[in-house]
Amino acid sequence: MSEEEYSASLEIGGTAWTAEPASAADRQMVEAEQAKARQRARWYAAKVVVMRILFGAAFLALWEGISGPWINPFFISKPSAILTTLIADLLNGRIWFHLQTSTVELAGGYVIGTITGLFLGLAIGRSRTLADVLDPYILMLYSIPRLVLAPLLILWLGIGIASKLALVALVVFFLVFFNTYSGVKNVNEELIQIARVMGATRLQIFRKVILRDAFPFIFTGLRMAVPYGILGMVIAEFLASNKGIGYYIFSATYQFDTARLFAGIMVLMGYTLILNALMKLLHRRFLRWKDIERQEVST
Amino acid sequence: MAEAILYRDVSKVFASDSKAVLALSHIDLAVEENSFTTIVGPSGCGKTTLLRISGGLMSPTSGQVLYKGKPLNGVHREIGFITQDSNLYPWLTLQENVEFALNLRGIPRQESNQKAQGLIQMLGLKGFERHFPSQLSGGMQKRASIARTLIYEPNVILMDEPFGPLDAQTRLILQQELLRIWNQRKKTILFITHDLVEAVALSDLVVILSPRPGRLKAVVEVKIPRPRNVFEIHGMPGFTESYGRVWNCMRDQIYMGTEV
Repeated sequence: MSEEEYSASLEIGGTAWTAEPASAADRQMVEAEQAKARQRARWYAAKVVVMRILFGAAFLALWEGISGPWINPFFISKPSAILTTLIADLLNGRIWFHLQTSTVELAGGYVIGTITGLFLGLAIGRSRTLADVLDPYILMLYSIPRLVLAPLLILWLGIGIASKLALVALVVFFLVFFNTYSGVKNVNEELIQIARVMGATRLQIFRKVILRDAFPFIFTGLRMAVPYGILGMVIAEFLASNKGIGYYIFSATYQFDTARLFAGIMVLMGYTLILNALMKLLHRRFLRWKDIERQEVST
Repeated sequence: MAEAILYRDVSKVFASDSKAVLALSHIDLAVEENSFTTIVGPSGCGKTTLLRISGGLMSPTSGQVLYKGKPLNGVHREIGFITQDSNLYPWLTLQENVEFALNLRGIPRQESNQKAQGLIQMLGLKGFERHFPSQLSGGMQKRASIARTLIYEPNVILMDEPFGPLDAQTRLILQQELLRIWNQRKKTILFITHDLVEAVALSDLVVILSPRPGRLKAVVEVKIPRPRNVFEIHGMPGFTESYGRVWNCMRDQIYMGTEV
């Protein structure tokens, strides 16, 4: 640790010990405590990982064990059968075929919904007149459960990709729009004034102040849109389709193929895991300051 | 010396459908270039309004504000604005905050880095470049907000009770540093405070506003020689006399205040 980092690390409750350098003995004491605290944290993290794995393994073993002797596998299948089906369908391309369709629906809908939601949220959130005029309508639209629009969209756009893409876009749009709208309404005006005094253009104020200040809200919308977007896609595929993961699950149900049904659910879980990982990256890139702020407040 | 800011019969009314308030009434005042002027007065006397008008963030209801002889028309880029809350951008690190104004102007990275480093050094923020505002103490946040204002070299700096929320010691240190900086790079400073000692210690001119509506009650010239030492300002020649004159103007108001 450099001298500077060291004095920065001694910052306690907003007062930095920069006035006088600590004596060697004091430094040793602080560093020893730090080392102990690190060691404790590492042990704890390792313990959690081990217990997690044990829990998961126990759950799967129980499932495998009770399926057959206790409960008819027709209803709950069993992990080994699910894994076999999953691997087989991955290898024979069946899952990939459906995955392609679903990915287009999901990614396309997510992008369209996000862009329109962001754009309208910013525009309406920053214009008092627009917000006042549209407020009751926004509330009315918001009170419609979006998923009930699925049949209507299928009626309009057919049973192909377009209707699913539209439903995902609609679901995502509302979450992103509403969060952006409230985030933008709560932007700290003083931060805007200061940027104006510094000579920021309107576009710069939008990009560098409003968007950034509202980003914690916007991010909440983006994150919530992941599971809801997937739900919208699957529901629309259940209703009417001939391809996609929802169709894969639905047709497995008709064939009483419980293992394949679970395999489809696993694929959906994979989607969620991947998208959540992307969200984590986005969070780390743009919201690290918020985590730090929270920590600072709590210490 | 020429005037940096000239107020001609400036009044400001705030009106909404439920009430209208006369915040400032017929202010005539000249702020000289490179001078240090403080505005004191009771809460709600329109000090902040006057400051906002000076920066073009608000326009007067009647009257005129001239900046270097030209009427102010909207926000102008030659001012810096330092508020009571430091209002740093919480999502930017200290260094990024300091560079923000140059970034807006499209100044090359290397140049803005260099300039920011100079100011960070000057304000004693070395080693904290990569900290976020929430990780800085109140005094450091204030230093950072001064640095980010100085970086684009505004001619006029408007300060709205900048040291109000700080503890007494940090406050004195920052007052002294502000004087040092002001001495190094001549600027016109317009400074709002509640603290009469602070007003006298820092400024050339103390402008006293009356309770609402804010009227110009008195302008006291402070004749303490410079450079000043704010830590021992009470012992400096001219302090007692200047402070006495400011206090005389404020006394009635403060007694009036205690009766309420």
